[in-house]
Amino acid sequence: MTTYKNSLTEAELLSEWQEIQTAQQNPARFRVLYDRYYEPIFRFIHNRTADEETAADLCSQVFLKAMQNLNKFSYKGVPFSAWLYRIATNEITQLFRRQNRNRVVVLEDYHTKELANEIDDKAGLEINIQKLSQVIQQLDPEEVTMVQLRYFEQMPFKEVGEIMNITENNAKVKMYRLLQKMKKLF
Amino acid sequence: MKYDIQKNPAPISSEQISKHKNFDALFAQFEANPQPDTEVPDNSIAVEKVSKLPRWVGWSAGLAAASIAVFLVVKNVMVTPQIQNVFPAPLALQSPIELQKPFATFSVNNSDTMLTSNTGSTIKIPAAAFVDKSGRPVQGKVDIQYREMHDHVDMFLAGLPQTPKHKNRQTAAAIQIQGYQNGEPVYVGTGKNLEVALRTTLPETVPAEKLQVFAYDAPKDEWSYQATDRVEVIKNQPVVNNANPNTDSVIINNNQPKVKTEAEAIAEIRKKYPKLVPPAKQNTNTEDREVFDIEFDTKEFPEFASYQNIRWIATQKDIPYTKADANRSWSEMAITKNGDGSYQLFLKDNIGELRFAVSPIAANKAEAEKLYQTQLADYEKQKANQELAIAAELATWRKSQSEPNNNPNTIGEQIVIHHFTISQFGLWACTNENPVLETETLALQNVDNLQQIYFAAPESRFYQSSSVENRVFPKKAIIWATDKSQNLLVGSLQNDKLVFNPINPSTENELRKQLQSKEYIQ
Repeated sequence: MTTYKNSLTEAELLSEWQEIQTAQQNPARFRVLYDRYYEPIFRFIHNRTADEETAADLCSQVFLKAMQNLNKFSYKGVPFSAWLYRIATNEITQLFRRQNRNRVVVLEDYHTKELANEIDDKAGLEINIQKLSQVIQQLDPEEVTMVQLRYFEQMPFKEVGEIMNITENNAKVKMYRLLQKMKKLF
Repeated sequence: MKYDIQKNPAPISSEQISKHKNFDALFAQFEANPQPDTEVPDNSIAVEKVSKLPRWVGWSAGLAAASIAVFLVVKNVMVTPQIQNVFPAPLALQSPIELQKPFATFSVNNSDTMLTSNTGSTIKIPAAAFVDKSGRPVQGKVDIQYREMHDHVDMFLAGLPQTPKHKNRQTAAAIQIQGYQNGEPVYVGTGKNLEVALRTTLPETVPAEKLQVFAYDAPKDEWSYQATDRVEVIKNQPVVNNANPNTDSVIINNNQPKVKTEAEAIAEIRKKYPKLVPPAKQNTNTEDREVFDIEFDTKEFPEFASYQNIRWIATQKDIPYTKADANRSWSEMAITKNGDGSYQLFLKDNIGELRFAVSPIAANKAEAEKLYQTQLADYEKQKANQELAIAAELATWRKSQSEPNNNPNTIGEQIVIHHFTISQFGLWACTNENPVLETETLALQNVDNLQQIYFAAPESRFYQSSSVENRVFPKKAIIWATDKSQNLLVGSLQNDKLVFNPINPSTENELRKQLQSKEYIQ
């Protein structure tokens, strides 16, 4: 079964909340959060833009906006990174809108394995990167985001919900229905 | 094509990413523009959408709402309550480096509770002790964050505010305690007091009778006297003094006062070892019973982490789930672990809820059984090795209890309990103000890049942070510093000057060893 990398324990979440409150009072202390999350946010953006310079620019924008809006952040039992991912998702959407081009979706071989674990419950259903690519083209943008967050980024439902601004339960139900849809498309 | 799909692009390395990382540039940008040009979403949790009401219901509800609003406006004009917010915000104290003194977290309900920390300290919390920011009593679970400071390393890692502005202070021990409910701070209600019994060690050089209890007033950045510290001496315990600089540094107080009894020793030793979880046996009998596919988190169920494709089977034939229920769209599904190790499945939709007992089953029975036997053998072996290690440590402890202490370089250190009452969350310290200390003046070298200097006289429980201009230190103090990039440096005396060299401890124990070695003594 997939294990989800991004979960923090409750004690770790409260400890991180302490760090955030410190940064809210003293912005120079934001460095701790910046050092911790710069690389994962950069990779998240790079996986959606496939361009290093674009990812670097957007990553700077994400952290600048996070610093400028840090006083809006309050503790809700999810890691700080979930909020950063949400800002990053919005920045990426706006970028593709401004540039009026198709959204980039990066697929790697291990993505097929993660999805096959969920979908492949009958003999003969071969899931490879070519087929996955065809199935992705038939999904809505929100559905693609859900697959990326849950199976490519391996996030727990609570964080998926936080990033997509839906409840955890809603994320589970949507994912269940999406998997049923993808089974038929494969 | 809706999307531009890129298959297996060249990966980007951490080194490539780090070339773009520059907090100083980001901070400069922020300082030039601290207000956002565009709004970003706050992180409030989404609510479920509700269906729209028919228009006539909405209209009459609106009229009723308008009436109520008018009434409230009138009421507010006539009566204007003055609410004064007297609650201080929770303290966000941190060390200047990445290493931090972690909090222990407890959960309490609304009843009389006694918390016990791993050092043997206790906090007695009366029932209904907490209020929210409006002064209203809180119900239900409250999360308490708690940490203790027993020496200068703890104080440094917890960001204890102790500067020359606060006078010279000999702090025997301190605690920081805060409460939250659903992430919002809670406060100690008026008339409610928490009784603290802080267990620690106290050198004989610190006069117990002069210790007083102070609370830290963050808005004023002052320590405010609260009461006399009632110090109860438990045991006189000689410990080794690190008077010889050529020996390895000795950890005098590792936040663990020496235990009194063998039972305590065993408990302390066991805590160092991870709790081993036995593997879960797969149920293989599936006749006439429902099987379910449920997603779950392997962190919550580590016993299944090695298995692929776990499914769940009802443990009994007669369950409140029929063939017709297979067509229902469940909005909520959960697997929970019962206290006896069994599992329960919970299903919910807009019609109702179902609950019944289930057990795990692997898709491939033979493979699962083989895996289980292998894991069981591993578990038994680990358990046996762990017991041997614990027995060996216990034997060492027993030997240490029977050997007399013939080391001439000893100072007396007592196990004590500081008894005091706290009326609010925050930072509380047991301190003697203006202790008598011998000092010396030192010349410093390579100070240009330094940000802050810290020093401690551990045997006197003296700790302070000061500006880089300071040149007066307690005699034989340990001196360290941070630079402008938040790197840590420790001072050592070379040619009668104090020189700072970088250190990079990755754990508290490594830091503790560095800050107890008194390297500056030649």
